This record gives sequence, C-alpha cells and structure tokens, in this order.
Amino acid sequence: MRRISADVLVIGGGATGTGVARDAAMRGLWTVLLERRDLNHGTTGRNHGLLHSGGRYAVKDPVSARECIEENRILRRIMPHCIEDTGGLFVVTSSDDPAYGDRFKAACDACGIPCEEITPAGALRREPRLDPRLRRAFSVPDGAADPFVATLATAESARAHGARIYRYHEVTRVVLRGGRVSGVVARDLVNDEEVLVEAAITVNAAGAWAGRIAALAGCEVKIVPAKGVMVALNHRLVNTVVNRCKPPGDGDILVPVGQVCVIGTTSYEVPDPENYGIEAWEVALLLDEGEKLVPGFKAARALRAWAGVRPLYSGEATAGGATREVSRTFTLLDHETRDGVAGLLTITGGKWTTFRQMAQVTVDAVCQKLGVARPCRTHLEPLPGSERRDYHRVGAPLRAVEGGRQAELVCECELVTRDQVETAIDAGAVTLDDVRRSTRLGMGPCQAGFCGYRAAGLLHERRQPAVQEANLALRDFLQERWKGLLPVLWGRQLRQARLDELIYLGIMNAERLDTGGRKSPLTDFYLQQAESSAHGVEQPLTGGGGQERHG
Amino acid sequence: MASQDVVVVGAGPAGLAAALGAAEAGARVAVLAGGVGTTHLAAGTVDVLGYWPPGAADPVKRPREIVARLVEEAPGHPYALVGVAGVEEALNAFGRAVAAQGLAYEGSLDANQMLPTPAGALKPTCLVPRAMAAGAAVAEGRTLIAGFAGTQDFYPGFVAANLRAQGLDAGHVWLDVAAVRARRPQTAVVLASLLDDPAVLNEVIRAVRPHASGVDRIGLPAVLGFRRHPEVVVRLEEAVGVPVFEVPTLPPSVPGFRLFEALRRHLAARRVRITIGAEVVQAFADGDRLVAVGTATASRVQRHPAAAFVLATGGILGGGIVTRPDGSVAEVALGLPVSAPAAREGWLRPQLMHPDGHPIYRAGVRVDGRLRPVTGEGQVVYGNVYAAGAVLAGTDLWREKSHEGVSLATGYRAGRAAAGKSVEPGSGEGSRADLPTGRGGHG
Repeated sequence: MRRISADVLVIGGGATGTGVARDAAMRGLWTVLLERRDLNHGTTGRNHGLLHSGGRYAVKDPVSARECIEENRILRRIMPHCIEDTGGLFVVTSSDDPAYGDRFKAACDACGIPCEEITPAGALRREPRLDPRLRRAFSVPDGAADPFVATLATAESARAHGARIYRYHEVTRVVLRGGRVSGVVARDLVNDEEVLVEAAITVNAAGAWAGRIAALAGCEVKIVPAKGVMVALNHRLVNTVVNRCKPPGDGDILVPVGQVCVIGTTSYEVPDPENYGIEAWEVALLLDEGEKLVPGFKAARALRAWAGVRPLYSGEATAGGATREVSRTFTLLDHETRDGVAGLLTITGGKWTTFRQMAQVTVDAVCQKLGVARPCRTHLEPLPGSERRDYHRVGAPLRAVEGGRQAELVCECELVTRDQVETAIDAGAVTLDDVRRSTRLGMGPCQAGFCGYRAAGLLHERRQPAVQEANLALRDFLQERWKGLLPVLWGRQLRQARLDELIYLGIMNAERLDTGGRKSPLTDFYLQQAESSAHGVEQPLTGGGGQERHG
Repeated sequence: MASQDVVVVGAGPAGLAAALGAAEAGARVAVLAGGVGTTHLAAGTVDVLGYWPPGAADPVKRPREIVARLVEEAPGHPYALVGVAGVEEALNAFGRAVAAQGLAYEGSLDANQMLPTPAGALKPTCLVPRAMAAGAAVAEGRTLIAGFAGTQDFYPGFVAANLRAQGLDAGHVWLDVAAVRARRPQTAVVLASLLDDPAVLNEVIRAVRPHASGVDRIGLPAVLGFRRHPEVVVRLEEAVGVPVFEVPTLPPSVPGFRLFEALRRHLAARRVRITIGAEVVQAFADGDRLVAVGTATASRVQRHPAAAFVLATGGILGGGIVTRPDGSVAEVALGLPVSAPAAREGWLRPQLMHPDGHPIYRAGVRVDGRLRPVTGEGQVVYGNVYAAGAVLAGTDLWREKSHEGVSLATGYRAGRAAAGKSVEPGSGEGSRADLPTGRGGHG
C-alpha cells in the first residue's frame, strides 16, 4: 500500500477543503488533501455563483449575515478576478409585502451590511427588465462569483505553499489507534490502488458527505442534505444580482453569470446527497418565480438545470425537511471533546461566501491542537490570478480571444481556447467533465454538441491513450451534459439537443464507437443521476439489440 | 391568382425532392422556406437505411432487401408508404439531377458503403458523393487520414486510431499549411473556400505529397474546394498519385452546401422558384382543401395560392415540429394534427445514446397511403396537401441512418402526387392521371 504522511489531512476538495488546505499550508503545516472525484465536483461546483452581501440572511439569520458581509469584503480583496462586481438589489415586487422592506433595511443596518433604498424608477433604470410594478428596491453589495476559478486558485496557492492535493482518492476507512484518528485508507480510483494517509490531525470537510466520513470514525454527525435546484437561462436578463425582498423562499434569486443568468433555488432535504433527481415541478416553480421578477422570463430558453446539496448542520435533527429553518452559519466539531475521538475535526454548514472564514476557524483549532502558534494570513494574501487587482468583467473572455491574432476556439459558446483545454488535459483531467470545471467547456447553449468532439480529439492527441479511452471520455461527457438537459428539454433547447444528435448520430455514428466495456469512475454516476431526474422514460435498460456496446 | 401549381413548404432534402418530383411531372413549382434546412448540417451523403431495427448491432448491408423487410414489419414507417420501388425511383431522380449539375453520387440500393466518420466509426450509407467514394474501400490496403494543423473540427489521429481499433490499416498525419493556420475562424466552409485558391491548393499538395507513398488512399476533411470542388479533387489526386477522399466534418457541412447548390441550380433550370426567408405561418383553407399558405412579411401575411401543397418543414431540428414546456407538440406551418407522446414524461430517456432513441424524436404528422396528413382518427385533413421528410411521424432518422433516404423518397413521391401524378400507396412508378385544374383562385 502506498503511504503518505502529513501534519494535516483534509478530506474534501470543494471550497472549504481547499480553503483549509491553503490556510494550513500557509501556516507551514505539512498538508495533504484527498478528494474522491475532481475538485469542485460536489456542491461547490453546483452552486448559484452568488457572492452574498448577507442581505439574504439579515432578518432571520444575523450570525450568518455578519459572516457573509465580513467575508464579502475579504474575497473582493483577495480574489477580485473570481468576482464580477454586479451589485445586488432586493426588490419588493407587487406580490410581496411592502412592510417587509423596513424590517429588511433595519436588519441590514444592524448587521453592518451597506443597504440603501432606491426608488422604483431608479431600480428600473438599472434593471429595465424588472417587473415595473415593483414597489420598493434596496441596493446591497452582492456580487457574482466564479466558485470554479476560486477553488482552483485556492488549490494552486495551497500547492505553492507545499500542500499535496490528490484527486480521485476516495476515503474508504478511517484508521483509529487508541481512540485517536491517525489517518485514513483511501482508494485511488484512477490507478485502482489503496493509499494509506497518516496525519496528526484529520479535517473532515466533505460537505454534504461529512456525515459519512464521521461515521467511518464512529461519530454521528447529522448533516441535513438540502437540495437546491437552479436553472440557467440563455440570456443575461439582468446585470445585477436580483433578490426578492421577502422571507427566503424558492426561486427568489436571479444571478447574472457570464453570458447567462441563473435562477434559484429550492431547498428540500434529500435522503442521499449522491442520488437525487430534478423534479419537473421544481423547474416549473423556478420559472414561475422568475416570471414575477422579470416578465417574459418563461419565454427565455432554459439551457440546463442542476442541483447542489447544501451541507446544513442543525446539531439535532430537523423535522420534516423544513431546511429553510436551518441556519446558514457554519459549525466546527471537535470530535475529541464531542465524541472522545481525538485527531478529527469536522467543519460543516456555511455558505460558499464564508468558506475562507470556515477554513480559518478550522486551522486555528488545528494549530492549537498541534501547539503551533502561527496566525492566519489567508485574508491578507491575494490568490494567484488576481494580479491585475481588478474584478472580472463579462466582456473579458471575448477581449482575450479577439486580442491580436484570434485564438483557436474549442468551445465557441464559452470562448474556451485550445490552449486552455490542453492545459486542463495535461493537468490530469480524468474526464472531460473535469476539463469543463476548469475551463467552462460545454457549459453554453450547445452543451458539448460541438466542443465534446473537439475535446475528445484533443484528449486523444495529447495523451495518445487507447482510443477506447477517448471514446469513453466523449460518451461520458455527452451523458453528463444530458442529465442536466433532461429537465429543461422543450422548444429551442430540445431543437439544440436534436442538432447534437445530428452531429453524433447522423454524422459520426458515435453511438457505435467501441469503449471496450470500460467505465470511468463517473460513468455510472452520470446515468444514475439522469435516471433520478424527471422526464426520463421510466424504462429499464434491458432488451433491444446492441446494448452491450454502451459499456 | 395562382402563379404556381404546387407550393412546397421547406427547402431541406425533402422539400427540394418534392420540388423535383413536381417539376418533373410538369407542374409549376414554388418553394417557400424560412431557412435552408438540414442539408447544410448533415454529412452530404444519402443514407437510406443503416440499421434495422434501429438498435441493431450490425449495419444493413443490402438496403433493398432490408427496406423491403421494413415495409412489412413497420407499417407506420414512411418507407412503408412509398415502398422499395418508391425509394429507388427517388434515388434515381436525385442521382440524375445532381449528376446533371456536375456533382456525381455513386452507389445503389443493392449495397451500403461503410464510410469513415470524423470520429473514426464506419457509417453505412447508400449514395456517396464522388469525393467520398474512395473512403468506402478502407477495409482494403492502407489508408492515411490527414488533417490540417491549427484547425478544430477534424482530428486525424482520433479517426485513424478508431479505424485501427476495427482492424483496419490506417495512419494519420497533420498537415502544416501556413495559409490555413493563418485563417480565423476556420469553419469547414471557410477552409473549403480557401482551397479554391490555386496557390493554397498547391501548398496543400506540397504538404500531402511526401506522405502519399506506400498508402492506397488519403482521407481529408470535407473541405476540398467549394466553388471549384471537382477541379480541386482532380488536381489533388493527380498531384499525390493516389485516390483522395473526403471525410465529413462538424457542421457546417461543405458537402451539404454543394448538394444544396446542385439541386438549387437544377430546379432553377426547371423554373422552380425557391424563396428562402419566407416562413409559412398560416393556412388558408376552404373546407377540406387548402387554397393558399401565408408567409410572414414585415407588414402582413402574404398569400401564396396553389392547387396542391407539400409540407416539408422538417422535424424538431428543422423547425417544422415545435415542443412546449406544457408537453404539447405542434406542427407550426399549417397547424396539422401531430402524433406525439402524451406527456413530457414520455419524451426522453435517461440514457442519451439509448439504442431505441427518444420517443419525442418520432413525433410528427401522420399521413395516409398517399402522404396526405390525417387526424388521429385517420381522416384526411386536406385533400390537396402532402407531407414529406422529417416532419413525418414514426421514425428516428438519425438512429436508423435513413435521413436522406426518407426525405428524398417521401419528398419525391409527395411532389409527384401534388403535381397530379397519382400513385398507388406503397407502389413504384405512378401512372399519369389528372393534372391539376382547379388553381385555388382565392388569392
């Protein structure tokens, strides 16, 4: 068995885990991070892209609201390149109670969130598509964030400080020695081998899966996996983050993200963070709610739906899936004092916006246990990529590819260049979905119709694998995109999906490409997620000719 | 008053075949279309039937036999309405038309040809443009696949590796051609226009020639000339000394453009008026006859009367069939009844590449044995309207690889029927019958 040792072992490669790894490494701790899939594969890569001002939580959850505004200011400083400074509006629509605006304003003031009421006319000048019957509007410092880039930059910084990050390493066992967690055994899913990681302190930052990791150490941590569904629309209908000014509910935030906008979310407890569907009613509800903010919303083309599973922690079980009631603040559990299991900390709850603070609190505790007195510096040192000290601007990718000699574009929808794709492949992408997470490949309207083939061709060109590997990468990626298309396929997006069929079935006969019975670590996951979603024909995959070629 | 006997709605392969059939039968024909259809996207081959049943593991070898079997097994399939003879009649008419315009297609219903695709799979296809024909011989001897360095839409190493994985002898090379590298953006159409330039072609020849020895044929992306295509291929073959063949690319499809242009020229010579950008949005009926269709213009709906009409607006991709979030499915041009799964839950399968395909893609207009749209109860909606191509219900063209075959066969038959050539359902050559007399005088 391969052996790795460290001062700190971090489990989980989302925002929180990479944040902990960066913080620990910056404090000189010998740090190892294990992620069972790709960085950002979990909830971090499935969130709303919202940099909270805290306004959302000001009335009901002031602790979380204060954390948000504090971190909002820090993230703008250390990672401006991951943030588009859109600003945010809280809008009292004609369906909402105008009096709530006063409570909202007072709560923002109490939490230290800059909040200014503007006139309905002023709000409409700023966002002309808003329903003109809106009654009141408040301006707050929300922003649009790119959690993908942020995590990768955080991981890059962690590595630069000596952290070692292992992707596709799934923790299978926690090693307990005399009541103390001394490390874990993980399976390297790519090379199919076991790895023993020994560490003085293990940090469980597995998000919605944190309960499972804790259970491996014999500790019970009740995580409420709260599914939030989002839908991307093929237009940037607003340029500002727009929130409904009312108690938090479903589908009341609209975030401009790149060329599109994303409506979200729902919040419902699911039994399994791994296996959930996106229901037709959830998509319908989000579109209906969007219509209340922006008339004509439902006529826009929905590109894709996805869901993230929030790792809510309530200390005790909540009743009946009422996950809106669970605080969005975070919790650090010391299993030594809580369960008598030393060497293990669990960090859970929280928001993407507060991930850095969660990491700081966690590593403070780690340092205390290790007897190390080094202060946190993650709020002071900017992340790699932020050298221009400027916010991301929506036109920047276009400017980049049009500057001078035009770049070779692999994905026209998201302006992804050949260099970017090759860099991601060379960095060890296991699936083309990994390439997507680091480049935005295939995230636009055609959902990999054109770029899937190109990326598979480039993968083959760069790696020269057995061609069945490239065939599998292509098929996996198309299926991965399909699972998010299924809930929104009608009208123009169904027409687009049929164009993709013309390409892959009509031109390429790609359904007949040999995958040699191979599966990637995610082949089954993509299919299972599609099966869980609404609008799949409920039919077992049996019978019919040629089944086996699907590997 | 009507200035045409037949109005064809749609300018994809089915619409153009309908115009051909009607024009050959002596009718005055107008084609109205919102856009150019799927010809410019698809591979430019004529696929008649590649797999039957659609999920079968092995390709159809002899389409004539298997189409005949299909006619027996699948009475709802468009081929069952025209029969093997109807397919052959349309392919022959198509072949004559494009050959007359200098764009020769090779092959027959007797045998499918297995052509390398840009992914390196082999796709069964029936009629093959002359420039792709040498690709059908990949099973014999050594094949070199060549691509242009610095371009995005064709990966010769990927193609060759998949050919080798099927037991074939294939290698690949990237050609470094400065004129190609320098050009952005590089869609297939841009590259093909570039190769029309003799200087660029000479550069390409210089790049290919060193790799020609010891190979039996060379495959290149389908960009071998646009306006001067046949000449480009001839010059290239002469210069490298071995047969050269095109492999389809990602859309836009240069072979598709050439195919469309050849048919357009041929129809123009037969006084067929083709108007692109004229989207039919309304039907003007008089009882069970359609008297005119209306196209959208800036200020009003313009009426186009005719004695008979062919609906060839395509399926979900072509835009003839639209789907809505409430689960409704509609035919947009004439508002005809549509056969479709009852609810959205039944549209799609969880597995994208499920061999049986997605039920929604089989949605479309149902027709009687003479290709006239019918209601759910089987009643003919209009006695003088015929439907053809992907707008028809009952088949998934991309999965069974029958797109052009179904489009040409039903289009040609519908065109002839609309021109008054009455044909027996499922039969071959029609007999001359009543030419249209009533000319929809409601215009």
